[in-house]
Amino acid sequence: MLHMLPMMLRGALVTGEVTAGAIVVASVAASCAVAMRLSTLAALDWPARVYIELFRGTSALIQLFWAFYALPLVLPFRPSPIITAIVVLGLNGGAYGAEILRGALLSVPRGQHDAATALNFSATTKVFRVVLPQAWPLLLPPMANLFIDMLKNSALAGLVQVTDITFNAQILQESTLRNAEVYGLALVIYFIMALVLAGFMRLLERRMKFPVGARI
Amino acid sequence: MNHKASIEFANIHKSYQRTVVLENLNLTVAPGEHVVIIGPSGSGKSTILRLLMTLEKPDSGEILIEGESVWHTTRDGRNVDASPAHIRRMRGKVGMVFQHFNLFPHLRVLQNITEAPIRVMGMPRSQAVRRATDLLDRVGLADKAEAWPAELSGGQKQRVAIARALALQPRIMLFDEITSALDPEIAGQVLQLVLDLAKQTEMTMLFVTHQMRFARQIADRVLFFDRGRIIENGTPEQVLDHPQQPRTREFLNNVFQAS
Ligand SMILES: Nc1ncnc2c1ncn2[C@@H]1O[C@H](COP(=O)(O)OP(=O)(O)OP(=O)(O)O)[C@@H](O)[C@H]1O
Ligand SMILES: [Mg+2]
Repeated sequence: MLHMLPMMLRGALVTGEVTAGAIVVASVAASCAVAMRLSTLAALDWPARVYIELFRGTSALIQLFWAFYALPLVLPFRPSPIITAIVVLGLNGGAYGAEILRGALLSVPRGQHDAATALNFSATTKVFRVVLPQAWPLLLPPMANLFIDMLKNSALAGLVQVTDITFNAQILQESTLRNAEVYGLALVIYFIMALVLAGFMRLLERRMKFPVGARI
Repeated sequence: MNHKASIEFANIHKSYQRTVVLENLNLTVAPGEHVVIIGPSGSGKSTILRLLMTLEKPDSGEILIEGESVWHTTRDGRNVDASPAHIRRMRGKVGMVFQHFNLFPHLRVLQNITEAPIRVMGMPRSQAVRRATDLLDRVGLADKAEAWPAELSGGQKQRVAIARALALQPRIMLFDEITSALDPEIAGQVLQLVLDLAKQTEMTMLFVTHQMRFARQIADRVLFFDRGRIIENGTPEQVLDHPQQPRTREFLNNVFQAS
């Protein structure tokens, strides 16, 4: 089993890259989508809705296949498999992230907005000093779930030529035919990576100093 | 300056969806005047204060603060919608204390007070801290500067909220049922603080309250409000002791029976 390790670890590195990249894309996409959804302009609201419903309502695997096999036909260039995977999985995660973020932002009570306005805060100060700090603790636990889901979903990238854990596991399985060891090792590596991600998110949560949940 | 009214509502209309809250409201408040608004639940008392604080926008009519329209300016002789900068400048003249305190739970007591002076007025942190410390001292909470709002009692929270509103030195202060969420004894202490404050400043003050004793002590003028209209307007003696309208008498009887 030891001789499988280097290849599996190389796969783990790629899985890490895909997941990290997708999380970044998802965070940006979710933030933009929520900013658009919460704007008072219908012209911004509806494209964001379409994005969210489209990505939530279709299978991530089919999205990936479509982006990998169909999209290059209309694009002037062919993005690398890993970029395709990062963007598609990121946009997919972002659609879920947007709803989580929107829920967290909307759960900041109206009185907090009133107080910020009464103190004559600018829109930016209000968002960054009043709304986001209070939405943050509500955001982190569901975001941790989403990011771990995204780590596991990144296995789909292995089906479009990305040499991640899943892809390498399949290669090893075909050459060694040792199903139990190969997939067992893959499980363990995914599990450890999820553990690290969850630990990181919990660290962020622990950085919240103020008494969360106290309604003032 | 003093010849101008501090606050003027001219033909204000305000409705929410299909409920008409204020209809053709006219109201003038003189500089430094202390006006108490009383009236049944849902009559539109909070709406008046929220309009003044620019938390709500009137459907039509003008709100003037120190003679200047809040929502409109004149450009090329025409009345046009005011810029956000103009609205912010007008908003800066007004401060408000809320029934449910609305302290920022993620900021310590001192920061709750320094945040606006630093970020809105651009005051240096050291000066903002000095001012906040003075204000905390004034509301009797000098020792709570580093506490979280969640660690305070209701009365203490409301004192912090008062200090927070004062930190911006508004010319007009609005108090919307600031003791309704407190037990009577604590409420009395907070109201005493406000009475002392009112004596020390020249701010124009508007109060919505159900505390008739407090109204009598603080008010230059009492307005009785019913269904979005001022139906009685006079000194505390006139309105509270010798109401002219049957509706006012009925309301006051109910309030006194309840207390
Ligand atoms: N955001 C809102 N959306 C819809 N209706 C509202 C809103 N705010 C207030 N109203 C309605 O407007 C009317 C006046 O409300 P307002 O809060 O001004 O009354 P109030 O006199 O302060 O009452 P209370 O003594 O209960 O605080 C009520 O009928 C209320 O239901
Ligand atoms: Mg009210």
